[in-house]
Amino acid sequence: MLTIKNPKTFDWANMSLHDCCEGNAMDSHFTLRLFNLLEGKIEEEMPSVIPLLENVLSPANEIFSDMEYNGLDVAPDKLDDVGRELRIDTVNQMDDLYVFSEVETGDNLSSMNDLREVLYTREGGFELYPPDKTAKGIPSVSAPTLKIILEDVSEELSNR
Amino acid sequence: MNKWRHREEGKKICKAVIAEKDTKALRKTKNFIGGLLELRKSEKLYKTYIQGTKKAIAYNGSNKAYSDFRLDGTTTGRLSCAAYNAQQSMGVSFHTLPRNEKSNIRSLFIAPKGHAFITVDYAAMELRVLAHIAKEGNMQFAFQSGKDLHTYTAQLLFDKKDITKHERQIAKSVSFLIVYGGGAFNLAETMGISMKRADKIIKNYESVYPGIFKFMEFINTFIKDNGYAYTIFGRRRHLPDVYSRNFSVSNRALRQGLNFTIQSSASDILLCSLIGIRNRFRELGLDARIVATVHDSIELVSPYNEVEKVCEIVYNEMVNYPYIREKFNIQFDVPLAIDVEVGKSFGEGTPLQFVDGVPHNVEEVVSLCLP
Repeated sequence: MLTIKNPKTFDWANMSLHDCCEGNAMDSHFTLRLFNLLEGKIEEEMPSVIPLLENVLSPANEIFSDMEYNGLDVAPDKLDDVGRELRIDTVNQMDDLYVFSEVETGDNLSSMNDLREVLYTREGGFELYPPDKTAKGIPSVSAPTLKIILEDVSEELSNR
Repeated sequence: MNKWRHREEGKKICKAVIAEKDTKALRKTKNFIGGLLELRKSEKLYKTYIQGTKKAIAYNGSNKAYSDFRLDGTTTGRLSCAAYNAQQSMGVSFHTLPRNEKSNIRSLFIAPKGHAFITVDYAAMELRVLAHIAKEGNMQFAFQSGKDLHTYTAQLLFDKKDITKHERQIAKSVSFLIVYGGGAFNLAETMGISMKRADKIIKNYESVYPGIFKFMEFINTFIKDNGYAYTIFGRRRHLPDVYSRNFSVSNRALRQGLNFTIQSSASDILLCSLIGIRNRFRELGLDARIVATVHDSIELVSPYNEVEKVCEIVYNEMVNYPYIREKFNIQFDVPLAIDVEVGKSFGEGTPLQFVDGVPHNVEEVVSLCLP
């Protein structure tokens, strides 16, 4: 039987038809066995879920698989246009951040290390205290951490 | 820099450091971090949708993007959608496609040749569901009489007839905040108003829509007694955290239960509509097909000559919900409403008007789709 160790590196496009059929057959087989096993339990403990399963979830599955199979058409020419607009936005937003005196010209705001300096460690930077750290114990500059700081700053401002 | 042992300790010190700063420095910090978050958002959009889609069409060898729709992708019962990650990305997640961005990313996805792209969005779906299940008479009246709910709410909240855009926005924010467990602080923060004013608005809201608060009380008691929440379609979400001794954990479980009751019902209404529409297409042998669902909307592509019939079917299935009536015997106390747009692509449609369930300006909107 085919065993896939890493689905991200496996060559799905060139998978043999035999492996594909076997995999799908086993998937269906075990799903059905699991369904038979759980059906009685659901009927006993949560009978209200049965109409939902029969009238909504099962028929919806077929629609979803059609949507997945057919996909959506993409306009390749628009990809370039919209991409260009987005790039311009990004450059403008980046420029606006370099106006702050706490940011130096040599800082790379996409670099986590530089951002840590600007926000936490550099004298003359924003001199904040990191509310959270990464798994490695380094002060975090992730979006959720930045949102915590932003919330605290906004709260402090609204209290003044 | 001092080291901290616990996350909460870090947050506490962070707050103390912020409190020491003067107002000017705090404003500067707020603007910088706000700008940084916006920048990250734009970078993510570029990476996900521009680079991601380019990668997808290169991998697929055609101008197509595929997505993985998941019926069981969320605990709230809502649908989720993700990009396939097989070797290289085959597509993108349509569920995170932004709506009102300066760069219209949705317009990247188009109808095939000879087809129109139809987007049908349920209007104020979750609030309609709330008005129905909470049996909130005032809110039901607003929907039944075809009023704009947020303007009507603002008129009652501020006790005056002429409402400014800002006041309408406050009414809209407070409606969603109450439903999703927000309070005066969130309202003050979102709308840039004082805490005192936010507090007063929320108290007024309680007197305007008392049914919603009674319903919330009922749901909370039910979850505490039974350990789960349920919806009008019989879906259940178990919330064992409600029994936690930690107040914030048990409180979160109650909020999740309330959200689930509303969001999951709205999601199941959409699923029923999908099934009803697909069944009708099959019965009539139409070539139109459903291509995606994004939150409360359904996306379809239809040959030009079928647009009128398709829109009629869509209107009937979504607004009159025969499938829900037949299978679940549910009759909503408020009317359901939809907004339909027809165009060449997703996000670039022209609104379609309906008179008594019949599309009114089909020829005009279809002519705009022609090459």
